[in-house]
Amino acid sequence: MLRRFTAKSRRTRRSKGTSLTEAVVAAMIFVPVALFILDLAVLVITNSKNDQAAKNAARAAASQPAGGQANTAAQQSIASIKKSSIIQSLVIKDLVYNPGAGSVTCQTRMIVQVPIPFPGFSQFTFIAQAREPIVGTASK
Amino acid sequence: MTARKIRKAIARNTTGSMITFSTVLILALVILGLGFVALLMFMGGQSETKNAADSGALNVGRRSLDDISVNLTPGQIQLFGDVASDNETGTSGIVGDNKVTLRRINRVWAKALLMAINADAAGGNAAQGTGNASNAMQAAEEISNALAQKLTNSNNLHGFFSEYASSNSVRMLGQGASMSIQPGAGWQTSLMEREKESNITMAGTPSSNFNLPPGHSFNQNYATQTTRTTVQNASNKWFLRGYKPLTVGNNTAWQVPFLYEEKPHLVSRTMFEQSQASAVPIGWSRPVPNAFSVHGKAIKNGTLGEQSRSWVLTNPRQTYKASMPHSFFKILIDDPHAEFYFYPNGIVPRTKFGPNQTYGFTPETKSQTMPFGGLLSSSVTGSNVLVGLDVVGRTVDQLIFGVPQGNTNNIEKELTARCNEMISKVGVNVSNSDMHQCLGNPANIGFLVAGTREFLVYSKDGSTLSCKPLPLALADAPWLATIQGNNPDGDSYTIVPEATQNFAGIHIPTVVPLPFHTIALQLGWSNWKKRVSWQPSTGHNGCLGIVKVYRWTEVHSRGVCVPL
Repeated sequence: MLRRFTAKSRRTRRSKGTSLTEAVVAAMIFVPVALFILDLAVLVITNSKNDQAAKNAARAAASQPAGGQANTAAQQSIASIKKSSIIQSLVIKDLVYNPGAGSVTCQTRMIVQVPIPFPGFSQFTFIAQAREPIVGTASK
Repeated sequence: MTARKIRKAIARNTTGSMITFSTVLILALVILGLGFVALLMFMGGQSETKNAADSGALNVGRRSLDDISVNLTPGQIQLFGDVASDNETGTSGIVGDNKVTLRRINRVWAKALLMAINADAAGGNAAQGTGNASNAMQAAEEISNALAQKLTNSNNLHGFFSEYASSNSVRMLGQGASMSIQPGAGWQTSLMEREKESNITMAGTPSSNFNLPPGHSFNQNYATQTTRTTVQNASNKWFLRGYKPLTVGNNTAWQVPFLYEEKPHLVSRTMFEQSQASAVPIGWSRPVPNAFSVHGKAIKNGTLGEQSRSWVLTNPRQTYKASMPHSFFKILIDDPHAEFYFYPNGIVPRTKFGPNQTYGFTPETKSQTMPFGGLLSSSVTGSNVLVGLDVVGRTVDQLIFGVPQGNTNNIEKELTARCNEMISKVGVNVSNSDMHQCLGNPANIGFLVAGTREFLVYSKDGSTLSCKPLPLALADAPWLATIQGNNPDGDSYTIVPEATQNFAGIHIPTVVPLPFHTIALQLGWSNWKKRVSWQPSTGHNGCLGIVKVYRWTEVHSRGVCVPL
């Protein structure tokens, strides 16, 4: 009776140990993949946000009658986007207000720190560009 | 199978199912995660497509104002060449390119409306003016229809859309994705902001009948102040209403609404569609639209990605004044003359004797003898009577409005109205005193002395008025050269009936009594007389009318003799 109990107990312990090992191995693969996907999602969202920021800045500038005011409006537009530990900086890289061509071209640069850094995969710089027709001037 | 073998098999199966489960779970999560990322990219692409379409729509709104045009025919150039320009004023007149755009179409309609108003104001004296005003309105409609046809043809707008839509990135949809036109039903036009202001202002206010000719009462519902509440310095401006029939006589003009100082901007689909002509017609058979919808698609490698529509309300943000910039009216001064009157019967009736004796704009003496021109007189002579003081040293304004006064109310309003029609600068309204100041140009006194009898009133730059003899006027405003000889299309009528300034001068006539008679009374006096006629014109050929001023002096000489 005692011998039979001891054998059954040994068998259960071996089975539990195997499952734990398998779970740990699975987690070692699953967790980084999940975190990587999280990083990827953050990158997609921030990139989209950078596009939107460039678009908004260009449109704000295009609504102004002159270059100086256009620059101010674009800067104000950018300033409304809050920085965080993820979006570390967002600046206007280039703003071209060209009344002759009737267009405003705005480039924004966003530096993004991924929430789960991996070696060689921690910080990204996004550049977005938007072009808008000037509607802020009275004459053509 | 022994019990031991069965137990081994169970243990192996348990271990294998954990690995399988973990693998499947990981794969599922990876697929879910990547799907989530793909969804995010798709949504980002959607946003990019929308933004690109919005840019294209704004450019359609902007470019449709100036880059779609109708070329005027020679006949239309004569009528509307001076308003086929973006310029409100010009140093030597407005120079246009004989094209009518969405920015300019309201100027054309407004000029046609002024012609109709002038014809209506002339009433029974309109003569050919009624037909000319109708022809002008018809020409405006032809131009407007041609423009409407071009603006509603979406092929003419596609390029404007692509110019900006395709230059904006849709990279979220993948490398190589780009924005292009989606032709078809997504390209529509609309008639928004109905009955709100156009970009055409009127001169003055409703209380002054917008300084229009006195024979016409302008329907005050045709004008409005700005309907925007947030703009500055707009309270003194009255605009024509857009998408509202502006009927004068048998003519109907239209305007396209452009809210004051509003920028081209995107609008909602609901508002756009509610204002479409197909939803609520406005009675304008070929309306010129002020709003456009665009339709684009973002394609990657020939496969449809995203589609986006956008709706834009355009606005030139440029205000004009209802005006006829290249127009004029003439003032003709008839040579003044002296008429001699005698009283052969002593008291009445008077008898006009001798020819009219013209005089200039310097003091002169005139004489006239009438045999038996007085009671019991062998002759009466108004000798060396000083004449000309009614015109000497007077300006053109004083010749029209000066002593003898008469009823000058109507001619004052007519001329002020014409002056306002010439002025094309927004906010510059000509008052009666401004008109008098223009006609009071002191330099013209010298020209009158030198024999000039014809003067032109015009605005060389759209903001100031001038009254000068023809040679100087041509130097000022070269555009007058081709139109200054044009005649009014209305009938001339007396607008200031004969007015008299009695006893303006006194003289002693020479009386020769009959034999055996002696002089009992010798009295002479002069009356100044004035009459003004007005020949109205619609302005279809640039001429807004002719004022003709007649002045003369009646010299009365009375001699009475009695027997010795």
